[in-house]
Amino acid sequence: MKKITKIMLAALVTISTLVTFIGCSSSKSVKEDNSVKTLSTKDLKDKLGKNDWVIVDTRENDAFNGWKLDDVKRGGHIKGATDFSAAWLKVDDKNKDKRLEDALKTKGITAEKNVVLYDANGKDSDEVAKYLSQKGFKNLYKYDVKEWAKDESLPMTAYENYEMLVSSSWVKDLIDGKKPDTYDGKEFKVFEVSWGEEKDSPDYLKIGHIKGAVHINTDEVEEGPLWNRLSDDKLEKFAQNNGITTDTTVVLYGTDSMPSFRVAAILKYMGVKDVRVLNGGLTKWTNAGYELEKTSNKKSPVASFGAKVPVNKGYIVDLPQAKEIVADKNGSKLVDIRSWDEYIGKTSGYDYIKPKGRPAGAVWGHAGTDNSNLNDYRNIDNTMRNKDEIIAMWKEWGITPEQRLAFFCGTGWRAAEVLTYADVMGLKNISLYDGGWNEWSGNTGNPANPIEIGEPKK
Amino acid sequence: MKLGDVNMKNTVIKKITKIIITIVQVLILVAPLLLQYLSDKKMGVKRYLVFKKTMFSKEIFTSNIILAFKIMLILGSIICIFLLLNYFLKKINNTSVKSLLKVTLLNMAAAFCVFSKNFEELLAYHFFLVAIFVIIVLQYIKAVLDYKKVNNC
Repeated sequence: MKKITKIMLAALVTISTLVTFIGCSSSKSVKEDNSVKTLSTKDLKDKLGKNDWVIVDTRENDAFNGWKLDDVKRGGHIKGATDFSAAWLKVDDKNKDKRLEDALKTKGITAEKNVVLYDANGKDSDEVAKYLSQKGFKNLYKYDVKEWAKDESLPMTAYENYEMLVSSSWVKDLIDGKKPDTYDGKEFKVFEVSWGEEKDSPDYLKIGHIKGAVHINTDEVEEGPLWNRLSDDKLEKFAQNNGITTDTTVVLYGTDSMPSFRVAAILKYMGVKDVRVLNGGLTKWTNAGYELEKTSNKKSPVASFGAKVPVNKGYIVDLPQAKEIVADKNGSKLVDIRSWDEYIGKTSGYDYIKPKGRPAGAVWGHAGTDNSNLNDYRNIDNTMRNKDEIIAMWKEWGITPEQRLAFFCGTGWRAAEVLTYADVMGLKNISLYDGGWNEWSGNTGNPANPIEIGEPKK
Repeated sequence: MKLGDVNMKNTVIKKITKIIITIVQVLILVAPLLLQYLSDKKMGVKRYLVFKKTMFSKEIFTSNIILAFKIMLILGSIICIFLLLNYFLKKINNTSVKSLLKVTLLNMAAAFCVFSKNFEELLAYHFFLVAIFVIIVLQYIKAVLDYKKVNNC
């Protein structure tokens, strides 16, 4: 009996000790959560530009770009801030951990620095703080950017044409009859853009579309074998058939946004004044909890486009202009928006393009890991990558915003997306070289042009 | 081995050969049908077919080659019809009549397709041409096998 009592007492002591330690650890971690201090506006102002401090915008990409979301007085981001959106933590991506870690590294968000996380809704910063704490970050601060935005003397940056990329809430307000910011009240049309006829395209009827959206098949704006845009008179008919005039506010979106950017570039070339693309694609719409419908909406044609196509002739250029750009080595750049392997000629990137290589004189503008993605220009939630990082990426290859830049890829889709981002950023002398590698290489029996293969000489 | 046994063995071999050839004919037709079906479903397939159609038109399937193929089909139809009529008149053997009827109808169907403007517009057009050519030739072989059998009797 005595022996049993001793054993029971020993067990009790052991359990009590363990519980005490666990309790102490828990309370220690509670202390760690509470150690994210709130910064004042004055303190934050003092820290701007200091190398051991990094200011991070944790809001949606649209707010960072320039939209006034969550009742802020001014849109855009604190000048000098980088972005790490709380929305990225919720993305379903098989390489999520690696992509987020790479993003932290690229943006200089490291555990050695003092990291200020700011938001406008009181939640985003906490989510990012929790994520960073788990990664061992200790010097974390939070800030309410509404305070900063209230004071006009404090520097904020918004992209010059941020309104070209719209948020899902903006589109929702538009279709609900409200007058969202920057919308001028004219007729609007929403289009779901993907390849294939409506009945064959899974994105429109099977997945569902935004209420009232009409399907555009990318074959309505381009044709093979070069897959260039249609002739100007055929493009005019396309616009009329889809009820688009120069004054229509056109909103384009897709499950994958790349077709939307392709059509957006062509519409802008034609002369449509107000073209918008849903930033981040359909996922942003469904993540916001908005409904989709699965019934077909017919096109409602108009009698006239309202102008002679093209109004913005230089927005899309062809082979003669591409050759001029290549010849002007200092003032211009023909920017290759393809993967590295396509650029050096390891692969053509396409089943239907046989030659490999690049136009002689073209510079690499980055793209993605292969011809199916544009990850170098997109955040993990498929929103636009921040301007400073894009400019830095280009600088390595001698591409600067002041130059005349013509973007190309295989047949003009990836390049159209980058062209739109360049437009959002406010660059002026920009265009899409429509023929791309498919035309330049002489793939379809047309004459080939000077080609390079292999890694470029430094 | 007795002569009767040899003849039976030859008949079985021919039957099996014909079945195999028929299966091959069906399978050959499946490829362009599948490509044409997928051209509405997959952008990559459509662009590949457009590219191939462009290159085939310039390199292999020149207008002279296609014209020669059309002439072959017409002549083939005429010859088959003549032979069919000849057999009907002689009333030689049901098997050979059936075989000639099949090859005649197939030839005419192929000729109709190849001459059709709508057919030319198909993205998998050249793939269909190759398939039709091989199928017709194989059908001629089967008809010859039946003709030899008749004459051996």
